[in-house]
Amino acid sequence: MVTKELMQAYFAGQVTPLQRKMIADWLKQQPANRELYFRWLEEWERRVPQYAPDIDQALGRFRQRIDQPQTAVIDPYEYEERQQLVRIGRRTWLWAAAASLVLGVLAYTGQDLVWYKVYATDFGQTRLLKLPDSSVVTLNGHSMLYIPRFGFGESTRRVRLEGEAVFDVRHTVTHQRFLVETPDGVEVEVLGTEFSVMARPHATKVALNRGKVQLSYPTLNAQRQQLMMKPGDWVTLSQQGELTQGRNTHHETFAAWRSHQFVFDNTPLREIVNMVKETYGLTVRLADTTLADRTLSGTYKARTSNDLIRAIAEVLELQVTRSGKTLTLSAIPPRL
Amino acid sequence: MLSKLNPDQPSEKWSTRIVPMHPADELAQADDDGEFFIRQAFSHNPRQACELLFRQYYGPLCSHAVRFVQNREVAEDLVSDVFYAFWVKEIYLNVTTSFRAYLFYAVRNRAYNYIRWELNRQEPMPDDLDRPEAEAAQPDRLMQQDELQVALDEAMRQLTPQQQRIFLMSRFEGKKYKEIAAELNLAPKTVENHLLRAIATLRTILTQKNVLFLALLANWIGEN
Repeated sequence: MVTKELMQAYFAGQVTPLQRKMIADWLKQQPANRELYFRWLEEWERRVPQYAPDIDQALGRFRQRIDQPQTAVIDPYEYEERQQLVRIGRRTWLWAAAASLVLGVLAYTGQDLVWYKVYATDFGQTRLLKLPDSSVVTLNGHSMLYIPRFGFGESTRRVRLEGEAVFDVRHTVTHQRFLVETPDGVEVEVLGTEFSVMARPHATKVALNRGKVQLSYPTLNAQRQQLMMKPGDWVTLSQQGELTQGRNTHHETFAAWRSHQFVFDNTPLREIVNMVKETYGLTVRLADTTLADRTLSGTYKARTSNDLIRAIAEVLELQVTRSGKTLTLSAIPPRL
Repeated sequence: MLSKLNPDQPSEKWSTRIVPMHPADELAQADDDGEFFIRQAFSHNPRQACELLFRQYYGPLCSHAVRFVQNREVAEDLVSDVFYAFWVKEIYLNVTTSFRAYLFYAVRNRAYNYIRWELNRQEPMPDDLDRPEAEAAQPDRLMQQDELQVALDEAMRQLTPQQQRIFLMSRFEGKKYKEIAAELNLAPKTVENHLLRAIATLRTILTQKNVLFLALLANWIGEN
């Protein structure tokens, strides 16, 4: 007879092989026994817990997470590829020979595609990715993330970003490093944390939400500079290599694009126009150069780039005209 | 291994559980898995029901996960991920077992995946670990996971006292190399070495025991 006492001994690893066999048979007898198994397992965990986690804090984080709208489903990393690997049969050696030839040619012609798995988003699309180490990356529109096909997670975790993304990095036991490289040579190094990186042609910006990161960036005289960031800090590196630092006092400004929000804090129209171009591929022309210096503050919720531009135009009392793919913002002519 | 937290203590958590008030009446019969009220709550307000479930099972689930992954932070992330998928993929609509059974086996599958990745650098299994059907909790797989958990526990006992101590400080107390080094009067590098050696030992013992990876992998492929 399988009793609660026997099962508790079993969970604690204190049963004989014979008893184990009995439990195995009992589990197979009927589904109701499986329910009992989990019921007793729960009781056992409550009676001899390994530790007591902070439930209130965890629930708070959980709420925050489910209130954050998601726009795409998590991709199982390279799922199809692994399926194929399993199916390769007896002629593996032949395939291997053929594959190495093909790889050799590819490696010669298009290095990136051989060594990296590339994830890309279109203009205006966001995508949630799960890396093999369980870190989660949210890619903003018009962005590319390169993940090494080989060796990711063996000694270091290194990825390359063109565009904009939020990284929620999983801490590993060995405190393994996680590195994000950008095309202009900035390296962001982390242990386990949440931060966003924007690597767009006009500038590179790194903002930190939780944890600690170390930033390493090239300077004009080719020497690298190190900088340690704390939660709330942001750093911008312009095309000309100028570094600006600051602190976000409001949490919601951190990667607000994930929930289709745009947070501006005395942001010049010039920067907004750049952002719209790089994320949505929409060109916005300013009819008058003085417009570029007008600034905007506040939070805007907009599904599309058009909605955003309309909202901005309304606040700044500008008019929007469209010709083809280009929008033009200009001052509203005074009424006669 | 962690010293078991005072097994005789009459757990206060019992009071937060939902227990039928009159065990003999009809209600109690409908509630034979102790989740009658939560199921009711899901038909009215899934969000609230989900939070109730979180409150009820988060503790025991974390305690269970930590027996596998041996790391507080990882265990908590894992359990939260399971609840997150449960909510986002609306798994609660399709669960054919009790919520308890579903949550426990989903956490175990993820925990199992994690150790495979950590100790053997094997690719994680395909990410359909959150399947709501009861088949995902095959008796064989349950038993193999239990065997692994017991083996891990034994393997932990075979570490040297110093390795155990450093391992626990690093993974349960979340201390950094430097902090551990200061506390134990060692060089940070030595701490790191101890930790790496501890993991290597665990890996060797578990591979020798053969409790795990290959047998289970074969099993997994066979199922598909």
